[in-house]
Amino acid sequence: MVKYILKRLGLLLLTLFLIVTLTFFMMQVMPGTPFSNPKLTPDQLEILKHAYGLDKPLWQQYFIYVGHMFTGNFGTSFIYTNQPVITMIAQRLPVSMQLGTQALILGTVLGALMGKASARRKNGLLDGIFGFLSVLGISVPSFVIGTLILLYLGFNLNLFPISGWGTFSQTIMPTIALSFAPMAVVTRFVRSEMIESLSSDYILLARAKGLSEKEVVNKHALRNSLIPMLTLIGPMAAGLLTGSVLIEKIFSIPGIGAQFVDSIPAKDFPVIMATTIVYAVILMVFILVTDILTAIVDPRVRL
Amino acid sequence: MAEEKVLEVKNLHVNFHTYAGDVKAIRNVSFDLEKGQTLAIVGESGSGKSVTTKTLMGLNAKNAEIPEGELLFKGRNLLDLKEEEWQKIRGNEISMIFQDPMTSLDPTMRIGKQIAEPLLKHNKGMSKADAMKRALELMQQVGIPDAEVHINDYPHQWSGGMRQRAVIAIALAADPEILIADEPTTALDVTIQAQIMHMMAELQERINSSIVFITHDLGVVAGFAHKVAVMYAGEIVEYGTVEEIFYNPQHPYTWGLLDSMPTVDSSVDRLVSIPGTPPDLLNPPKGDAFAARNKFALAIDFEEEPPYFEVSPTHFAKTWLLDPRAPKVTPSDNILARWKRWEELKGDK
Repeated sequence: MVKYILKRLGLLLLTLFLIVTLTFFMMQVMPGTPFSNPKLTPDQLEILKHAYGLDKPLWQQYFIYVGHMFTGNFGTSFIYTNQPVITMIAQRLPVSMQLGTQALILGTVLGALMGKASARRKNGLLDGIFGFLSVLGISVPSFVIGTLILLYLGFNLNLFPISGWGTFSQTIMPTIALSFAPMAVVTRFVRSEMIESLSSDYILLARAKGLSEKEVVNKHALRNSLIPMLTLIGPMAAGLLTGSVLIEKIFSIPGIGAQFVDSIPAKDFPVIMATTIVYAVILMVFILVTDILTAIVDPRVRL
Repeated sequence: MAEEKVLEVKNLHVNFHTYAGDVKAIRNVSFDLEKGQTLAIVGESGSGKSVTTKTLMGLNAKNAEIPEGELLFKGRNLLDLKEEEWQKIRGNEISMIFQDPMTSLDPTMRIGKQIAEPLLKHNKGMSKADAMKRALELMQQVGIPDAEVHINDYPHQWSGGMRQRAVIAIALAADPEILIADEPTTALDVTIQAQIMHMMAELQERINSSIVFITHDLGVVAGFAHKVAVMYAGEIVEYGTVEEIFYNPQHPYTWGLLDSMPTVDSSVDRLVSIPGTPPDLLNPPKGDAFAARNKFALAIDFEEEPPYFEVSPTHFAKTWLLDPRAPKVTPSDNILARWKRWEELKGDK
């Protein structure tokens, strides 16, 4: 197990190196420059480029960047007036992570419960309602759901603060909005896993033991249908924890998602690089963690 | 010996609702099960064997309907039971051994715990420790070596034969009066088959339970069963003691099954099979369901369903060939040889 984890961590570093390299060079392919203000004179542009080291040959820039990276220096933003990128991420990432975690927990717990209920009464009324909800959750974009929640729960009913970040009550509406998609995905996944599990031989045997329907579901079917869900949650968690642009914009949340998207057209190279690295690390760590968790809960999987 | 009937199945009908219509999977099936005895139900795939067993456990699919029939067990008609009452019987008084040991055990639960589960369910107040102790004893009884070492194993760590022993241990946990074995050896190697059969016979002697043994293989039945019911297209076509079925078979379908059993001294170079396939039970054919595949079929077989003709007080067959007006037909040499052996057996008595 330890050997396996070390091997995976080694692979993770290798992948990260490839991502850094590829992203670095691909950014250069994008048209335009970071300094697109038309008022800048050519001399001023030269000064700016020199100040940020952009006048050096590309390969030199790359080695300088990688060298700095190892010392924990991710540069300063081109756009946000020389803020160190690391500070920006340190401020914004926790916000996105909190929101993402809340949405992930709400979405998967609700989704698992709804999926379980749907599977137990396949083609029944609840199954129909939950099926409809999950189709909505998957097909309706989050900004529509976010806006509707904002309008009804926030504005009309005045239940929660409309926007901003700081208190728990401010996190509730964005959490609900962000949890719709994972809830929908998990509902459908758990439903189909559970239906498959319920028609398996070991469930028939569990019934033949005289167990009640509830015991059959909770002791045998649920565990077997939740294990494959882990593989689904890993990448989903990485996506949620790294922020959602739309939800962050709608609810005016100072998360990392909006910043990442803004940085790309602005060609804010240090921000693009750093957020890509953060995103990649989170994704890879989550996949590793789910693999380890799967091995722990599923006796058939040995690392 | 006056035999005590443990279970009486009377005129059982089971239909399955499908989009295409009602599939009449079980049609007028009746049999008795006596204490400590084994009834083998033999038939090919789709003959209704498995549906019969699931009906005996109250475990039929949701689209099943039982329009008619009685399952008398201890003076009660099981078909009248509510789900909660069934739960007290399942795994306790009637339990079941399943066909495929590779898929019958929960892959994520330790085997010892799976064996202890019915014990905890049916013995109010039994502690977990006691249940595990009993599970260990059961594992030893069914011949699992080093049971104390393996009690915490997961199913995937075991071979098919060992898993089937675990499945049997689960079925035996609560000392059931009736054990239903649904092709328990079909998925196993032939050598393991013999071991499992031997073990089941031994266990039956010890706990004196009755067994309903489902199989498509008459060969497995010979040394093990007391009574045999041959099923075809949802009906029992012949019913008798194991000697009567093996040495005095009367139904052409039974002849076909016996002929298709290869023996060491059979001189044929081709395996014998019954031509054709079983009828569609969505629309059971008029007359005798087997008529279309029966080379001895009479004209009346296509018109009218045969009744059960009594061959002996314990032996019945559903074929017009037993009608006094029917012409004499000559079955295969194999069957004739069996009949001859039957005469000798009778002579011995």
